[in-house]
Amino acid sequence: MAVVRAGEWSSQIRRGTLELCVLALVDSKPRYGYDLVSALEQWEPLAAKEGTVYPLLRRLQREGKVEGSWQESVAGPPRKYYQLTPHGRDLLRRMAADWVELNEAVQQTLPTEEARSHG
Amino acid sequence: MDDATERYLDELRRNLRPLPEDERSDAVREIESHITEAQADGRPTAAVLGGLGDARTLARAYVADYHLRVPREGALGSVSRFILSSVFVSGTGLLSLFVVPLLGLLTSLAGLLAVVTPVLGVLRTFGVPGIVMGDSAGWQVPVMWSFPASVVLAAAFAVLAWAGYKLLRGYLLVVLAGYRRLLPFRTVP
Repeated sequence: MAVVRAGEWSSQIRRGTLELCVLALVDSKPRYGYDLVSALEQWEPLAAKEGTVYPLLRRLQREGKVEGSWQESVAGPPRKYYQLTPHGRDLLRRMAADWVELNEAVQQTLPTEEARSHG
Repeated sequence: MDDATERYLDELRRNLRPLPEDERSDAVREIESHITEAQADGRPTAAVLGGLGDARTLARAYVADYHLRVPREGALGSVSRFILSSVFVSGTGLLSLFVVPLLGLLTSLAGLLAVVTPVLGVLRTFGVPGIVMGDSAGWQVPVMWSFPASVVLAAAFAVLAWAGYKLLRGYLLVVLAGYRRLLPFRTVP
């Protein structure tokens, strides 16, 4: 029987959901990289390595889902702000719907607390 | 900027070489902005760089993504592009059929002669028979001059081999660049 490693499985799940979370966070307001990374850190399971967030942002931009623009900041370095394109917004809506649907279905397959304690 | 940050960004920039220059400097600038921002937020530099991970790994993530880009659907969409692509592929293909073996043969032959000639020169100096150094009119290089003459000749062969190698390399690079241009990728909006 194959050994299933929860750690590896978890990191795969996270990688897939990170894109959804990044799109959702950028939807609420234009954000720059550091802001985004800090926002993700609020939720421990979502805390992503900065090393994955930046290449992801570049890919999203290249795919026309977000657009980035450099802006001077009052104090500190110039920041690259990202916001959703119409295509990105549309995609986010569909991804979010998929996620909810998937999540509900998965929930139903899982044994309930009660069943587990008896099993 | 502190030394560690500078080293990190240099390493990143070096390893992002496969990207077009504008994407490369944009990525480096963004990472620099991140580091400065995090430092201003009171995070120690070591922790910030640690969070970003090894510069080479980070660069690989960018580059891997870049190569995954699919050719635009319209790559062969217009009639002129289609014709241009056909002409380029058949033209360079036909040309390569002659240029590549010819230059390859010339280069390896000249390289071989550059190595063998001085050996023959030495052998002739010591009176080994059967090695002719001279012109068709019957003039012969004096035996004592065999080695110097062979070195001069070998140098000429070496130059020829070098030139052949450079030409072949240049030719391949030009053709490969042409093929790359034929595959237009989505550019950053």
